[in-house]
Amino acid sequence: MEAQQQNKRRRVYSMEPNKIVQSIFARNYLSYLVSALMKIKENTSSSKDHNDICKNVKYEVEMAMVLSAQGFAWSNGLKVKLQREHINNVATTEGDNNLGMEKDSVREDKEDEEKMKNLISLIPGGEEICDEQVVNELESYIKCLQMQVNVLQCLIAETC
Amino acid sequence: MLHCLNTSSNLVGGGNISDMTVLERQRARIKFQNEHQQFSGNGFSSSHQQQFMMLGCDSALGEIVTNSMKPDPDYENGFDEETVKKRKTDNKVDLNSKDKRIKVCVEEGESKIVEQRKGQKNTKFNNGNKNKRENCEDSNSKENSKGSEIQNQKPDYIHVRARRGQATDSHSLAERVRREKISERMKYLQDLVPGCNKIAGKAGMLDEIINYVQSLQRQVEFLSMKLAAVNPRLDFNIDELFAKEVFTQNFPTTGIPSEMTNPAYLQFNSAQQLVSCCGGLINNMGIIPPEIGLCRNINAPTSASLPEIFLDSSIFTHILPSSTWEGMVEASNMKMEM
Repeated sequence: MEAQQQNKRRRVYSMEPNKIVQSIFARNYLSYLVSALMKIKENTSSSKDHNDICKNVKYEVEMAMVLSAQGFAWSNGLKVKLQREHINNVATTEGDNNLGMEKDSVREDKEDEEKMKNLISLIPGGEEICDEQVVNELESYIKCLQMQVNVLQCLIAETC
Repeated sequence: MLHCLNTSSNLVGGGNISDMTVLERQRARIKFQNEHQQFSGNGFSSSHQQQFMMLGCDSALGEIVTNSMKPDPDYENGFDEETVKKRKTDNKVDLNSKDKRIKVCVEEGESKIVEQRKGQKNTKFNNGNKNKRENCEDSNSKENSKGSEIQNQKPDYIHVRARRGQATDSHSLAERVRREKISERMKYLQDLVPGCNKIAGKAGMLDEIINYVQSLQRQVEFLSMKLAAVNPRLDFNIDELFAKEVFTQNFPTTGIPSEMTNPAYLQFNSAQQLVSCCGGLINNMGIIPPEIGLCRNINAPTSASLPEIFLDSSIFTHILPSSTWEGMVEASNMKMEM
């Protein structure tokens, strides 16, 4: 309840969601991910498939991202995508999108609009973001991605 | 000229530009066109006619300006795309051929026009009219040079304005405005994406950004797979240690704005991290006694400082007091539960 109120207040009152998210992203991310990973660890004692573990971990990683960065359009898009995939038990299509985009971006003569479209497609839920907000969302998304990578690297470094 | 001014004030007497209907503006413009035909006898060039036409007509001027020139993305009042479209559908009888000259004339007083159109107030406009007239008179001799300058300035996004006469212009207008807004904000992204400072072009920037986002996403995927592989061996005795590490690494990379006093903030946040980590762990699984001891030892010396940090809101007043307070309170509650 409190968390919801927290989130609501953030969305309503925050004039600068970016800064708030930066300041508590890592904390929220770690606290969610660590507990989720422990749960997975306990559940895998029943010798599940490695792929399942991978999927679960991926899901938790991205869920942690969503929960740590509320108030952005892309975090909502990511949440929607995760819910859809979780229900369908499909592997994350993010990787597939990446590969597709890779081929496209290699082409030499690309219009700026097409590039923008590519960029927007990289952001989860990007198609629904209105054009003016695209760059803001992009900014926050890149920052959160950077932080996420950092957190994951630290986590792995410490546990290996 | 005075006549023009008078008629303009008559026109405008009714209200703001926005109040006038399209039809009225058309009539006004045609009126002025006719009136200015009379000046031709005085030896004014047709370009001068246009200048004065623009000078005199208040709302018609605004229309001519918008119709002959591309929208300025810097307008604060929001260059309404709807109004632009309205103007597009107006009669484009005589002004098509005179677009360039209008541009030439106006570029002198462009900044003023910008200001006036920003304000969209009659008084401002009327005051500016006289200044514009003087400027245009002075610029008559420099028309040609200015014309070429304007032609060169077209690619410059500050001076870009739409040319009327093309039916599809409304779309390309909106497109142009949108693209220019985005290109402005690309500069912010340059700081985020490493190595983008050297790239000047927008296309290269976009490529860099796309590559960077892709690489970050791939990295996340790879790390999560690695994490899945490591999962069975996960050991959270050292959570507190990497909590601090995470923060020291995170802050330089994310470039937290300097208004947050970093040392105090780091100290505060790391304590919070310890609290939340320990709280989370304790809630989820039974804590091994040495961990509890460790947690409590770490928290004990800071517990006294935490309330002080709570009271000292100077750090967070920059961001947002209300929401972050909740976070702090929650974390402290978790600590109390321990």
